[in-house]
Amino acid sequence: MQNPNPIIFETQKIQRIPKESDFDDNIEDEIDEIEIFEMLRNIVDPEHPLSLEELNVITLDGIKVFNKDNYVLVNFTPTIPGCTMSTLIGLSIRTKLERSLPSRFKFDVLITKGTHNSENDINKQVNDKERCRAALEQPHLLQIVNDCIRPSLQNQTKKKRK
Amino acid sequence: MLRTLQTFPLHKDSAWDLAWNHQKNILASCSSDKTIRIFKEQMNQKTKKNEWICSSILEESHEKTIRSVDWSLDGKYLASCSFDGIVNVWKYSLKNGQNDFECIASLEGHANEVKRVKWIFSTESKNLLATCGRDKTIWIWEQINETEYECLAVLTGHSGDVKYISWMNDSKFLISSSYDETVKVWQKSKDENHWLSLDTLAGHNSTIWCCKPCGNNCILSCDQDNKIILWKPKTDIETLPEQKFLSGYSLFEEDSEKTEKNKIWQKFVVISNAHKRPIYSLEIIEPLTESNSELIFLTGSGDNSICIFSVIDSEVKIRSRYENAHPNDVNCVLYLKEKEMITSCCEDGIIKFWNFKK
Amino acid sequence: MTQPKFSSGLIITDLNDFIAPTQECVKPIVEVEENTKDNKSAKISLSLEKENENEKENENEIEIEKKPTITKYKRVQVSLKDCLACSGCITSAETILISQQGFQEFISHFQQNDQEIIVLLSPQSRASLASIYDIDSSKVHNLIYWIFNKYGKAYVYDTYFGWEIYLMEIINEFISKFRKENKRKPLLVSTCPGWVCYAEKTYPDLLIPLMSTVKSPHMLMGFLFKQYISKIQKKEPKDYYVVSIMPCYDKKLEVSREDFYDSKTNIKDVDSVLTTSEVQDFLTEYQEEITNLKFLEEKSMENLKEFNTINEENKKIYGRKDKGSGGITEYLFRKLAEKIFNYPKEKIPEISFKNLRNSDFRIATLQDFKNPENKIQFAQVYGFQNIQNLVRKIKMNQCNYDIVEIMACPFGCLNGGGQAKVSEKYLELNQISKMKFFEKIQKNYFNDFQFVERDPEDNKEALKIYHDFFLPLKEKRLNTEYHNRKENTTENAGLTTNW
Repeated sequence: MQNPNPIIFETQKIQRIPKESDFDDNIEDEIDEIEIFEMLRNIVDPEHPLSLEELNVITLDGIKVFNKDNYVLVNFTPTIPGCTMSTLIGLSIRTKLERSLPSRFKFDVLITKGTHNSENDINKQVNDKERCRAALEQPHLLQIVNDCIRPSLQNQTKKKRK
Repeated sequence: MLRTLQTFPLHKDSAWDLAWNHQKNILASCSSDKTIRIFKEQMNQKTKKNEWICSSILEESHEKTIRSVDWSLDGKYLASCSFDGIVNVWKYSLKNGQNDFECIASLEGHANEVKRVKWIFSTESKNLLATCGRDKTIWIWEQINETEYECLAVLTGHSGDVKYISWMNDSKFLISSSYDETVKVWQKSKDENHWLSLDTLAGHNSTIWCCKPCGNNCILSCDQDNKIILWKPKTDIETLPEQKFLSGYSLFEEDSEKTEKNKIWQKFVVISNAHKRPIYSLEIIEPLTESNSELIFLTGSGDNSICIFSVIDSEVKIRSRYENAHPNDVNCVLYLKEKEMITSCCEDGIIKFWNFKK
Repeated sequence: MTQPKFSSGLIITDLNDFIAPTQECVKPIVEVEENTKDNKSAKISLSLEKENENEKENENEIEIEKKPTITKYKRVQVSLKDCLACSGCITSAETILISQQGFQEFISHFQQNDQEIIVLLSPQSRASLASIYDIDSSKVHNLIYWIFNKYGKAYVYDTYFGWEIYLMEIINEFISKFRKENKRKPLLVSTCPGWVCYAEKTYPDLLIPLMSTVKSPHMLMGFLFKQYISKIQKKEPKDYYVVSIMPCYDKKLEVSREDFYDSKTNIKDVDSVLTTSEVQDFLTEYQEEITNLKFLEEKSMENLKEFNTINEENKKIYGRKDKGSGGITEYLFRKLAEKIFNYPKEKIPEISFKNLRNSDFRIATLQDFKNPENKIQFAQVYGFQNIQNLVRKIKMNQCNYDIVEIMACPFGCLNGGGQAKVSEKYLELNQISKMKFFEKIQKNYFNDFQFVERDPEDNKEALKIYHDFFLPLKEKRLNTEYHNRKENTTENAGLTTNW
């Protein structure tokens, strides 16, 4: 284990303040940053039994949603600049988005600028859809990714999205 | 000018590649659902019109995503390659008017995922296969007979996953593009079975998904950063001195890569931001020839669109753009001149046939 | 600084795209026992986190420790050995470890230690250096002696003696297998670590049972010095530092194998390997002394007479007359003709190779003197693509050869990845083509004027050491083992899987 004593952050109690339009079934609820954050916050780190939110790997600020352009950008911050689990974490985030986002969305998962020594290499690997697809066909790896993602399934919003 | 003819939502997972046979009457597609589908034209008894149907499904041959398919030039064999590291060779025959496919050989050797397979005829008219993969190598195989294949060469030189290969001028040159952001051109040495890296084309700043020859020894390549580059050779490559190619000996420093004067291909045109997402596929509609100076080509992109470009000298025009050609990434586009058709396949598994009028 | 270039087989099994030099590979943590002040080892224990400070321990429970201690995980040192043990992980981190075996590290080691330096010079490296500096092969010994003695007391030997032991044992190995096996199986003979690495990582179950278990001449000589010569000279193994000069980087991995390391005494059979190009890099400073032959002014070196590389009568160097990789097939052909087919010495046929697709895959047939129906089929397979074809044949049970000599590099060891580099400038300056230069190296490896072959069995010293020292404890001294390094099936497999 590289970082045996990571700093644990308090989980934000992010509340969505309901608007009137939320209750109107005729108006489509736009996907926003909070919803993406909900999808990702409870993904667990491969090594520590802590969520990406608790490790400050995923933050609300790092997520940008462009609903009209059907594009989501997620920045994630590895716990230390030499973290070798970064590609795995990136892959888990990506896989969660693939499974949960409506198919109209395109997305990029990038390392927050300046927070890792091999930022460019990791971004390249994580955003190569062919590599990620092949990775998930490796049983050992798929198992680890699923284990990381599983805790986040409990808090999924269950609405069907277009 | 692009009109949907037929849509096939048959694959249960991403469709990655398409290939027409030499006679241009059979299309093969492959997918992450581990199957290969075969399409042929048939007379519809009710409407009395010709239409395309899926005539066979080739299953249980690969354990993982089938990434690419390709037909041999004599039309007898179909090769498929997969993330399971194996390349399968199928024999095609017509039995009682039905398409029949039999898996007759399995080529192992790549250390991990095989990304592409491409057939060509060797100078002795034997079937040659080139395969490339994540292990950064390109393998050249010769078909000794239907079930026996011999590895002629293993080309190392790329420092990353090799994504695409294509042959240029029959089997004289092999072009490869890679995750390492370079395109390499390889040539076979005249003495023995050594393939040498003739030139390394650097100019992309991200993974290069596709590289194809587009006539007059020019090369077209597209990448992850939505860029397309057209490369032209500075000199006549047919007349390069042979001494240059004498290698295979690791003793001699490979300075041919380093000096500018030894570079053959140069960037001629760079097309940026024509698409909003990575460009996964290129297809040449009208190559450059002695009599034709307008290059026309198709692109399939991760922004769900298909685009038609025209390049005359260094002037680029987008002839047409089809946004939402598919609801998801367009993984492969093919052009069939004889039938004025374009076929495309998509991340959601759908294969579309389009009518295309220039 | 030359970049390490491994053989194709090793490169193929290198699956990682990148691990930046500062990153360590993901290796499971090893807990370390810490010594207490009494020099008694005590286990580190985890501190018990008590939920409630007031909670008292049950009196019957044994308190693990009086003072809470913090578990300290010792930073895992990843050595070349570990990289080989972990499957499919030859990363750039390993490149760093390899460079640690370079000349600089070697020099700094000597500034701290007082060992006797034994330099083992391979014939291919010798040929390469002779060609590039335009000197006789015999003078290369003087050159190496001169340069190494700047750093400590050094002696230079070539690996010929190791070859003689190796060849004697290979014959015995084949004869015992040939007589036992009813079915035809190839005996895969190789001194090439690139091939061994490839076989262990890709097809261990298929190939390991077929591979010859004789240690390579390189390792045999290292072992000989440390365990046999040391006793004769009344010294300890640790008093020697054995460094070999080899034509490839793969040899660096060979000396790091756990089979060639005694963990109890902390002795490696061969301490480090320098490639010809690393020596070449280092010698660039001394170009003048080399051109002026200043290094010859040094008094001739004292060799151990047993390992004398020069025939005293005709002053020729002992060498092997072959394409450049040791001539295993050629020797086996002649010896087996004598020992299995009982050819009288005058009638032993010359080996005649037939090229299959190219000169790197060639075969030869030895027929029984009395009964031509009986044959032994030899094959010589060099280069990765040919190895592929061979492995496929073996897999499909279509391999009819009895003995196959395998080398990972096309054209053999003379074309190793670590041989001295030749630039375009050099070729222009000396008005020599690449083809001609390679021919020059081949001549400096063996030519009838300067070299002579010796049958190992004619070397009384080799026979004596073989019978008295090696044979009695054969398993440990002459033979080695291969390991299945194909898949990492530990718990952490997913974490270290590369994609």
